[in-house]
Amino acid sequence: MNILGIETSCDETGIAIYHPQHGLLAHQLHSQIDLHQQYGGVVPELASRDHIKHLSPLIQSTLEESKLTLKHLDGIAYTRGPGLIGSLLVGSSFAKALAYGLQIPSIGIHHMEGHLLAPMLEDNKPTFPFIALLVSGGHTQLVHVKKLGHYHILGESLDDAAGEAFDKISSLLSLPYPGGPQIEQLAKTGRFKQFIFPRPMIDRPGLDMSFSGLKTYVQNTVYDLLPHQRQNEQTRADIALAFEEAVTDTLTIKTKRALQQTGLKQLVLAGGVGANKRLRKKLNHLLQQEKGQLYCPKHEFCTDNGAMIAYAGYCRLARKQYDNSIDCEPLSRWPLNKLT
Amino acid sequence: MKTFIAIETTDSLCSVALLHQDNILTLQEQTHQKHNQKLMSLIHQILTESAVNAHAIDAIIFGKGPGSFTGARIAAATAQGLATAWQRPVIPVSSLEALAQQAVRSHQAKKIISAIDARMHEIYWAAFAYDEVTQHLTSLKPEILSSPHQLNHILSTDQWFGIGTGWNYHEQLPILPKTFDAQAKPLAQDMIQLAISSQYPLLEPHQALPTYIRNNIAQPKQQ
Ligand SMILES: Nc1ncnc2c1ncn2[C@@H]1O[C@H](COP(=O)(O)OP(=O)(O)OP(=O)(O)O)[C@@H](O)[C@H]1O
Ligand SMILES: [Mg+2]
Repeated sequence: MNILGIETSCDETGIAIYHPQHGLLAHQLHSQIDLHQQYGGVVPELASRDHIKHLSPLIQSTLEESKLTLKHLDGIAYTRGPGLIGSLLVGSSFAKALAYGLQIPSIGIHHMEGHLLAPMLEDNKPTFPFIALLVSGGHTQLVHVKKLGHYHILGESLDDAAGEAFDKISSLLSLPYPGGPQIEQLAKTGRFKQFIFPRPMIDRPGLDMSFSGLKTYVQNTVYDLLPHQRQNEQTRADIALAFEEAVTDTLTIKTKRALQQTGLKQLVLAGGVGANKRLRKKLNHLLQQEKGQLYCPKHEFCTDNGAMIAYAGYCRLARKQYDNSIDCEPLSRWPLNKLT
Repeated sequence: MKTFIAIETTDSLCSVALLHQDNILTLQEQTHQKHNQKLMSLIHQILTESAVNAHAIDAIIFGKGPGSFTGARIAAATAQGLATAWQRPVIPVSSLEALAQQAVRSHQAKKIISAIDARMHEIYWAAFAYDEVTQHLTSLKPEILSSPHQLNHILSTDQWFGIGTGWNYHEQLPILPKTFDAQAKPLAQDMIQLAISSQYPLLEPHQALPTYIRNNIAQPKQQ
């Protein structure tokens, strides 16, 4: 069984082919980072224009890489949502037409389900049930994953997503988009405890989070600096580190609570912020303490990619848990717990 | 005899047509923002009702715009998907030209200005002449994006037939065409007619791309 995965929810066109016995046969990604960088963030219309230009050639080259042809495909999985509607429409329109033309099923995938299943592509994979910490540009959620399609959201950010906070602080420090990797790089030369930023909501019970207050706090700190301090490379690195520390501590504290509350010992870390080494290190340490195990996708499958969509498509096709209707429309908003 | 399927979604209509055994069948629905949801069903319906096997289709025609960016992309992406699966070429057709063809078909128009509302007080427009002998539309003025006032000059030169939603700006114009139809939307059946009567290149599936005309989408951030 060969499943083609198509990801077009935001600013990357990702294509992959997954086979249950042979694993990932091919995967390719076209990133739009260069396109959007000059605008300081994703411009939705430009993202859509880029997806439709790159989708077909990328599918061709992915097929070539896998040494398969279209007639070997058994299903087309595509990101149905959530995401930018214009970008989703490109992938959805293409995928449904391709599947219809090939007379094979089309499988609309929830983008965050793709992210949370991504560690299953690794050799060392979790088994249901587990806790997933989804941290990306649009989401920060702790999810109790009972089995495929059974997701209970234990807690989430009430305002900005963690990735969004990384991007905003990066922009504040005049670093290019996307900010996560930039902050991580800058923080490497930072000195501990030169600045102390709050760990939002850790003294409150429950698993919800908030990052907008932290962002404002960092902003005010930067505005209060004298101009020469603001330009100082060491000061900027100290701020980046203090910010990274605050976000990763908060995520780790909330994750610890989620594990203790549910008694689960497996944690999946997924989404773009999951690429952050400091966060991985802290969570690894936490799971050692808790005598559990941390599972992460490989670095390139933390951010958006076609592989996770192809894999999720396989899971749903194999269990016949999907909607093959050609009337299936993309959803820009789609709560994870509404999935079945 | 050719078999063509055409799809058009650059305005509020989802319009599908099939040319088969010299007959044009049409299906359309007022779908507004729901083109993606409806388009494949209409394609399926037209193929089923006409009992045409997908393998019999020689090319996929789609409305490439100008018009709604999203609508043009839905048609283009759908055309790409079908063309890839069926291994057939695509034929992109301009929505302004399709409107001109509609003016010829339903109003026997000879000199036509097609205009589509581009919002922000602008229109996409182009002018065409229809030659009854050759039965071809020729371009008199290529597609542009401008304020409706830019029509003044060309309107003063001849007796025109105006077609398309761009003519909803007629109250702002000192000179008007002899007749105009501001309700008309581009239709898939006219795209088939154009593809039969004119020489359009057959393109590879990945070349099925929209024409936007409006290209200044965002301003780069000031550092
Ligand atoms: N090393 C890193 N450290 C911290 N954040 C990172 C790192 N790498 C990427 N990010 C952040 O991850 C985000 C992108 O992740 P991803 O592509 O999963 O998000 P998205 O697809 O935009 O959002 P969503 O998946 O919620 O729709 C950006 O906010 C980026 O700054
Ligand atoms: Mg993502």
